Order: sequence, then C-alpha cells, then structure tokens
Amino acid sequence: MTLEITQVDFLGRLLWALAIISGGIGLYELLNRWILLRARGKSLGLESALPGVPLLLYFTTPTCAPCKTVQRPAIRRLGEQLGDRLQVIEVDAAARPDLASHWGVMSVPTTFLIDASRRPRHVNHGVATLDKLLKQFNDLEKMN
Amino acid sequence: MSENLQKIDHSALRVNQAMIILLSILAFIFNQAWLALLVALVMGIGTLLNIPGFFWVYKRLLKPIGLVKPDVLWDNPEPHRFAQGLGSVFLLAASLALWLQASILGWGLVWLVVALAALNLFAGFCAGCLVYYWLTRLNVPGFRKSPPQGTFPGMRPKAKVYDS
Repeated sequence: MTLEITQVDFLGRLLWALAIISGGIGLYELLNRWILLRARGKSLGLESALPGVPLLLYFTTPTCAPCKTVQRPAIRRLGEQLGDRLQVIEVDAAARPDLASHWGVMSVPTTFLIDASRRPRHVNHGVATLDKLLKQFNDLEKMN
Repeated sequence: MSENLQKIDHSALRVNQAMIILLSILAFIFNQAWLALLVALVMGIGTLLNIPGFFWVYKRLLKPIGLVKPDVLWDNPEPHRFAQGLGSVFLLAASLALWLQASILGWGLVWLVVALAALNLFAGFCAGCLVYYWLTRLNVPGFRKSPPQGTFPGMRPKAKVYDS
C-alpha cells in the first residue's frame, strides 16, 4: 500500500515537473516571438546585404566555443548546400554590443533567419543544427 | 573597460546554475526536501567562499574532460555572489517551509529558484544581479558596483577577456 502511494506520489510529481517545464518552454517560445516582433523593420547591420535574397544573421564572439565547434561548421555546410540562395552576415557581438542589443541578442550563438523582404522569421538562441537551419530556410521559401 | 571589472568565468556560473536546476527538480520529483537543503547549503558555502557553489563540478570534472570550455568575461563578481546568496536564502526558506509541512510554499520557492536559474542559464539574464544593481542605484550601503558599460543590468556582458 505504501509502495503504491509512493509510486502515485512520484508519478504525480513527475507530471507536475513536466507540466512546469513545458510551461517554461512555452514562455520561452513566447519570448522568441516577441523578439521576432521587435526585430521587424530593423535594418542596422544589414547594410551590406543583397536585396531580395534571404539572409542568416549570425551573432558570435571570438572565444565562444560552441560557435567554433558546432555553429560555424553548420553555417558553412548550409552555405555550401544553398549557394547564393542564402547570404550570411556574421557579427562579433563583443566588438558590436550596440548591434547585439539592437537585435535583442541575449547570448551567443544567436541566429536570425530573415526572409527576402527583410522580415525576421526565425530566431535561435544557442546552437542551431544544420537540419534545423535548413528546415527554417525551407519555411522561408514556403512563406514567400 | 572599467578598472573595477574582473575576469569572471561564466562557464563556471552556468555549470552552477545547471546543477542547481537539476538537483532541485530531482528533489521535487523524489520529494526529498533534504536535497533542496543540501543545494541551499552548497550555494550558501559558495557565497561565503566567493565562488559558485558547484564550482568543483566544473573545475574537477567538466573542464578537465573538455566537456565545458572556459568563457571568461569582464564582469563584476559581487552581483553574482549576491544572486547566489539570494538563491541560497530562498532555498533555505523553502527547506524550512517543507520541514513545517507547508509543501506548496516550500516547493513553490524551490521552483522559483529553478526558474530564475534557468533564466540565467538559457537567456543570460541574472535576476539576482538586477536586484543588486537596483540596490546600488538606491545607494544602499554595501552595494557599489554598476553594470559593465553597455550592458543592461542583469544581462550577461559580451566583452570577452583576450589572452595577451
């Protein structure tokens, strides 16, 4: 009997924990949407971008380890696959903190996928894998 | 760069936050109030020693095997110390509440600490540091430091320390 009550208690707590964590993830998604909404109409840092071509705005810093080991190789492979269908702008957030603040960057790496009409469609805080970036790029193409 | 800023390894802070989150959630799931108390004590001792409570996990385990790389930034150590102390007080209050059978209050405080540590770990925003900087602005004795130049109070600074 005690064992059953303990098991029910454990499962209940586990479900509560999952529900709270899911709520946190939901709030994080809302934050992402807000950052995208805030980034709409921003053009600072995009002066060198070619018009009419989707772009990936990549914020990094020189000593960001995951940027070097994971994010940059993923972006390089993405560039190899997509060629001139996607342009990449890399920003050193340490050298340009004004630009990082302007775009609402909270940590590095952060990547923005911006469509051909310069509307930010996706934001990734932390490392975004090649598959994820490809999926987001395909979303951009579908939206246009 | 302000002369008052020091080299702070933010990887050590992030490992500390991850340990606090992990152990606090385990304490809740397995209903083990002693584990929440243990986390509170580790954080409290870390505050007194002016290091992240779970610094040893980073220094002795994760850093030597290369799983976590140093991320050294120019920052003020005091707000992080204050934030950890505040978290420790919250968890001590949670442990007391749980000991007094006030489960909702106790676990609620534990989850509050988890939420704030997650905000710091994943979004780079230190709520305890923000409180510290507010107290500085209010000229409260003992609170002297201002945020690094160009950094929103509580946000992780972006200025790296470069080897010379």
